[in-house]
Amino acid sequence: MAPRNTLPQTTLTLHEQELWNEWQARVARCQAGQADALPPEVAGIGGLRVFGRSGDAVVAFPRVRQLSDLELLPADVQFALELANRTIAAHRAAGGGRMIFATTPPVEGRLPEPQPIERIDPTKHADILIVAPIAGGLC
Amino acid sequence: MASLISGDYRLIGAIQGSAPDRWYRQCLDARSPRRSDGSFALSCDCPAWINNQAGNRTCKHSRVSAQLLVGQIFADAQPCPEPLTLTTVRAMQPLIQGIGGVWRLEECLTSIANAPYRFSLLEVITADGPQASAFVAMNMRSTPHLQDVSAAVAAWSGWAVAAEIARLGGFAQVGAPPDTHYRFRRANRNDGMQRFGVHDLLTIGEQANLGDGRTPRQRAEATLQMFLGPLYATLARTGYLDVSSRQYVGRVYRLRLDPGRHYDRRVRVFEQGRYVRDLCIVRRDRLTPVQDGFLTVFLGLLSDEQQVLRVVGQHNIFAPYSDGREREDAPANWIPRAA
Repeated sequence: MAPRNTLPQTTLTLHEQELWNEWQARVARCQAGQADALPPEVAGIGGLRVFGRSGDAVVAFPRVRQLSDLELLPADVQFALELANRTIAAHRAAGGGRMIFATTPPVEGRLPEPQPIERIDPTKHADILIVAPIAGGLC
Repeated sequence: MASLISGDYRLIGAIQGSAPDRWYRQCLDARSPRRSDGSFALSCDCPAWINNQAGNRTCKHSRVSAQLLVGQIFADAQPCPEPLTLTTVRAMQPLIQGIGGVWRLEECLTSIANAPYRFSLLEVITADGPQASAFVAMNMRSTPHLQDVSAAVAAWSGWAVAAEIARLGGFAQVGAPPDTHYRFRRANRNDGMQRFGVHDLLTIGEQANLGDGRTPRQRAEATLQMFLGPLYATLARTGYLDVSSRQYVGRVYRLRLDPGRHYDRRVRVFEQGRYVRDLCIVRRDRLTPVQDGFLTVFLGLLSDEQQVLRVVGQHNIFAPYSDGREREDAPANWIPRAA
């Protein structure tokens, strides 16, 4: 019997790439000021920032008021959240020692309060960081 | 299609281009290393070679590589004032740590087409006879730090030497070659938005060009500013941020950011207000901007101090002032943080 593969699928199928492109176009329309670009169930757009050679690339995901709203969303919007969660799962499974935080920019006089997370809660989280891998070494 | 990974070419060196993240691999045809006219069948990733601008499949980089292949010494070579050590290079490249023999690292400063370069040649002669060497040429206009040079020599020369020793020993592969070389593409006419295609989730964040008209350093600086909030102004003014330890009463970590954003600075540790040691914590990938490394350590110490200290281990702890003489005049006050 073949061993069960517990690693998340890291490559996208053609269909998933189409959904991703649809979502990106939707986000671009929203950022351009088109009021109806996002369905009413979406409370805002969150960002999963992946640190790396890009500086950081932002994977946008939908934020909702309540989890039950997720099933009302169009396929590309649902997929955007799934893709963000799969990205987190892929980096955790890859074992590169990257830390993953939910955080918010701090207010005056306070330090940020990053929280380690394993999965995005779209009702709470707005900014997620998959930070750079670090090592002890010559510097 | 012929490729380096399938063994059609041998990597003999890498030359840095005008931008620090542009690496031009110097490859030699493994099956027919010489052309019919006796010249070396070399290839280079630079646009001049790819577009065959010289008309004879050469470029300024491949001509230098050909010189090195016949052992020609640079006429204007000068010694390096701050030489690399073999120990450092071998420590940074696991592929060569098991290869025994006589190792040599030779360096000099010279020029390619009037641009100053630092050449580092890594060579091994194994006990059984096979030998291998490869070079790295770093463009000194980008003022590389010693850690950049050692990382480049370990990545490029280290992989090339390991691959050649494996080939001579009858093994096909030693793992994928470094993938940070320059890829020639037509100009991108995007709309300035950060929109990118995703094929593999693990490669998100690895493309330098996201089509938004910004460089990785600019993006990282903006992210640093965003997630530090008002602390960004403090960092700009003082050059550091203090993080009080949650686990050790009286301990403060002073995180410094290189003003030039070129290299990682060691974390200064204070115990009960006294500066006692440095911790060396670096980005694992030197092509990740320094600002991202800084933010990683900063948020890591705030959130999961033990995980950050785990990467330090026992071997990356140094005496005070180990990477700079900036005096510590500002007090480091420990402020208890909520658990």
